[in-house]
Amino acid sequence: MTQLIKINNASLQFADGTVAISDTSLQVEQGEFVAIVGPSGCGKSTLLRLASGLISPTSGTVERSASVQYVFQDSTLLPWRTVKKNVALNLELQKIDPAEIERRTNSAIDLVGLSDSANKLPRQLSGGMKMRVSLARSLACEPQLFLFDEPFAALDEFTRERLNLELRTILQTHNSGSLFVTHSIAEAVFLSHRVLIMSPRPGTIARSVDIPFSTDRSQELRYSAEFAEICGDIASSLRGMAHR
Amino acid sequence: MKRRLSRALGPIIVFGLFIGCWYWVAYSLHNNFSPASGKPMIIPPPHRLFEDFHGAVRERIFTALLISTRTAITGLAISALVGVILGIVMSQAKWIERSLWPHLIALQVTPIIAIVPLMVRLIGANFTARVLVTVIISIFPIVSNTLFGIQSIHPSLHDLFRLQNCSRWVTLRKLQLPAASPSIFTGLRVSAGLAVIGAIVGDFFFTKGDPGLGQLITFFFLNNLSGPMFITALFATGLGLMLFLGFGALNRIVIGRWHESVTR
Ligand SMILES: Nc1ncnc2c1ncn2[C@@H]1O[C@H](COP(=O)(O)OP(=O)(O)OP(=O)(O)O)[C@@H](O)[C@H]1O
Ligand SMILES: [Mg+2]
Repeated sequence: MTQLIKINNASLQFADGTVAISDTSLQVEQGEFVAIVGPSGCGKSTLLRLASGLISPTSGTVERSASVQYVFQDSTLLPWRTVKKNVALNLELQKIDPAEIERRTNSAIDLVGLSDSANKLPRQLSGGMKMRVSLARSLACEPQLFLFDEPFAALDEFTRERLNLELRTILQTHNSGSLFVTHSIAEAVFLSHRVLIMSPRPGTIARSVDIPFSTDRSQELRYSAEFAEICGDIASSLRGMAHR
Repeated sequence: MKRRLSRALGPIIVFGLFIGCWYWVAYSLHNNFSPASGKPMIIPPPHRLFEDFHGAVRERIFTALLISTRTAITGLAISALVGVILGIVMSQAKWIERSLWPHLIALQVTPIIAIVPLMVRLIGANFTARVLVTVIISIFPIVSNTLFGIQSIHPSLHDLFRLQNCSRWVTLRKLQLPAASPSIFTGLRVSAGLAVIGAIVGDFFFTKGDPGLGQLITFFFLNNLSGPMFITALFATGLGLMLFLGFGALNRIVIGRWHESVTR
């Protein structure tokens, strides 16, 4: 298995003295989906920014051997660009051949089911549709590693579950790796092969839980006893942290 | 249709009240009408405003209007160009912003009349000096709105561009300028009004050179031609209004499609 990213004993201290990440190691391999859950403010976004290279660790190392796309919590669309132009943005910035941009943009828009809205402006879209555009923008780049920072946090439960399923289906054909930050334990368990539980002050990975389900997952899985048991286990780990 | 009518009602009533007050002041003012000729001396009532608007008077007003329009537009164009560039430069680094900001504030609060004598000495009381006054009066809103517009871009959007390893130039062209354009247009509209004020005020101070609207108002005032004086003021207002509306229309054309403040 090829390693896409490897973080070794990384720590990060902000200029104001806050230690956001302390002695944290993790790795993501090709085809692997890893979720990170943890209480608010424990350093999940910071860890993801470290992984992306937006910031560098104060100590320790980050080895990235893959092309990366970052999916933000808010859809970060440019309001003056149509859906299609927004999806094309990252490819355009990477100075890729226009014919290739056209092909990849169209197929990404198809993949997230927005072909009918390709010429709409962001303000004409619902929250769920905006998030799909943001997903399509990253998908079009065909990266080896996706970094997701709570991409579905602002959506309603129903839209969120549907997008979870779609994301699984899309990524299965991609063989790329993912690091997925979320507040929702059920989302983490449903999507991933491995769930990392982060503890706060200073932020570090307290526990890693392997998810035993097969790659073929349907919505029904969410209502199985085993699913509930794993979620309960993770929840009690998190609760333990809050009381420390 | 009915809604548009009821919307127009407020402004119409206020305008009516304004005209009413005008009449009241014009006719209650002591000595407003010359006992010999019956001509208005201080404030002409609205229906007699255009009595003298013909021949040489009209010629002079149109020439002055042309001169002031040229000053205002030249000044505004320079303000827009220099102002947007200054705003962009200041947005690129905190230390540049900190170095320039106090001087811009100083320029903004300096009473223009205090530096007029200096300008007369340095460049003379000519077109350049008038344009310079216009620029000094109108540049501040453009700089501050450009800077504000760029600084209020959501940090994740900047991250998005940084993650694609974009140069500053590409980020400026594809993110910062378009994102800041609604704010820049707000600045331009405020500055358009200020540029007209600048052109006329500058004209007031420089008693030499081609007379614009400001000097003409002084001339009519000194010659007791209150009607033409009022008309000149009216044209100055019209000039400001035209520029203001012009930028409003340009704003709608350029960003109306996507920006909420315009579509609502
Ligand atoms: N630029 C910064 N300067 C100083 N402290 C920061 C900075 N950014 C984040 N922090 C601090 O670092 C800690 C971790 O922040 P981070 O945003 O990574 O948390 P998070 O786990 O993503 O939280 P949430 O779940 O609410 O998104 C917090 O205590 C935060 O206050
Ligand atoms: Mg976060």
